[in-house]
Amino acid sequence: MDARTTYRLFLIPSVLVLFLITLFPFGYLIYVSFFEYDITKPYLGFEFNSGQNYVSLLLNDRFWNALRVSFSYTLTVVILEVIFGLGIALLLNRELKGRRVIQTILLLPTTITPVVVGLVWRLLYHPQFGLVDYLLSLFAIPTVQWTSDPLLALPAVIIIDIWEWTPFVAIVLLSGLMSLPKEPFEAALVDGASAWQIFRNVTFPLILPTIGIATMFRTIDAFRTFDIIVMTTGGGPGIATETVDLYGYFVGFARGGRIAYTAALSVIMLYATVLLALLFNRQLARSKGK
Amino acid sequence: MTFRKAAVWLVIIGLLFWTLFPVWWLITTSLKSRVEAFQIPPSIIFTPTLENYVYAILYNPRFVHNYLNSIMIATGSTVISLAFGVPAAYAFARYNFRRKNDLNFWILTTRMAPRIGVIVPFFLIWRFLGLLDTHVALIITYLVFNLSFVVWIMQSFFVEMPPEIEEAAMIDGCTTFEVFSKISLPANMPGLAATAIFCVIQSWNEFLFALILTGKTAETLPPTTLSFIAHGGISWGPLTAAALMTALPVMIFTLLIQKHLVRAFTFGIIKG
Repeated sequence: MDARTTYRLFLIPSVLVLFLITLFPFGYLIYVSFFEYDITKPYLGFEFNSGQNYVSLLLNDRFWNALRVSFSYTLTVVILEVIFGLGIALLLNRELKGRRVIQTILLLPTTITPVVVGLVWRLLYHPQFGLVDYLLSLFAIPTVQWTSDPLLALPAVIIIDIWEWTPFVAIVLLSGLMSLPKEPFEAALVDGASAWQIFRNVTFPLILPTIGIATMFRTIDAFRTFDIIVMTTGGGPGIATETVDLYGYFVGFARGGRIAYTAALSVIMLYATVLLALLFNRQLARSKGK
Repeated sequence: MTFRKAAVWLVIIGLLFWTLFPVWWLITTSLKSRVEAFQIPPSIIFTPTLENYVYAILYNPRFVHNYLNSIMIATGSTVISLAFGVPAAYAFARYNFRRKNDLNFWILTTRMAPRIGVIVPFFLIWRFLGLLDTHVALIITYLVFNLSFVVWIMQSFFVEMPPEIEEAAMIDGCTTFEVFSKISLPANMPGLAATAIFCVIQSWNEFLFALILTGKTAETLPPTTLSFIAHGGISWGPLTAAALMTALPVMIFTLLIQKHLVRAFTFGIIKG
């Protein structure tokens, strides 16, 4: 069997499977989005309504709210995690006794099942029995209604995400820092540069590609955050923390059954995702070309 | 100790406290008696009891069953993803075919797709086929992210491997398959192991698809934790016990292989 045939045999099953479980459902998704269908009333069947779902979506304030929540959540979370992560990475990028152990401990939040993380923080945020308000009370701060205050709910969830994912960013950046060449730093030291100058002119430019890619990954995943939010605030209070995924989930499954409407929502989001993927692809190709 | 060093350690200790206090709370609450669990301020010294664990396993009669479900589904999906994905990744790495970039782009898109986009058609399809609440349905659904992950990550591993040894073997008369199975694959075992474990972790932790696609028979652990939030209130002790039992295998797994995971991830990120 020659090389080409072997390679093809290796390749084709996977490609077929991938196409089967992505292209076909995707096509079906688009198809369904042009109907009206309620999974709690299957006897009504599929009712063709040609694009009405899309129109009502774009006219629906709740849709735009969901977008706003998703965007502000993602933006805040990624920016803060990168800043904190970089700080931690710089902190740990030195000879330190027990650094391995510290790294392992710091990574713990990323290893815990996200649902469990949401659960733990939900209890921690409890106004009467939760640890957070108790700890705050030690500093004479009055009880805070974290998850039921419309202004605090989103920050509360953001804090959870930061707790969970900053270590990931930190460790990725730390690996990047540790694999940087030593010469530029030695040269800078010889030239008598201060710590800040070294950071600004040597460290930061060199670590920028790693930051870029870590940012990209966190952005993709932060936008899709679901487990934590649904466990702690359930999208609330009201729709204060209702991201796009949550909105689709509630409308189509949990608090209703209008799955075709969710389908339309999904198609819009998928379209945006593909556009973003094109952008990222171009970015990746460019950075590899360097 | 210089001021600088002291400052660094101060920050590190603060970080460790920040990282650990929820975990500590989870572990200790699960070991406290039902009454003690509610105490504020939380008692730091207490008599540990396993009653919550016993209660969690007995309260939800399906707990053990769902534990097995999680194991089966995570293993099944990972094994299939590896069986299909690793050879494919090798072909991606060593075989230049047309449309390779397009395929890679497709895999990237799969990873980025919003979850509701995946769950809507799959729910309808599985329901139409009468396969809701089956292990098969969940295993196949998980392939969407597991298979693409395997292909993407293993591809970067194979690409990183210097081709000289393979070329030497081929000159010696080995077939491509022999080169793959006797040289390339063994050389990348650490990466393969890390990828496999990552797939297991992703499948084990998955919540949304399991919640929607399963009911009684094939329910995995993450949705099961919801059952402890009953109408009467939250039974904190058993809830934290169940939560810990859900999270612990993955936590241990991850920490055991964290070195490889970091390498696998940064490899895939920086090189891929």
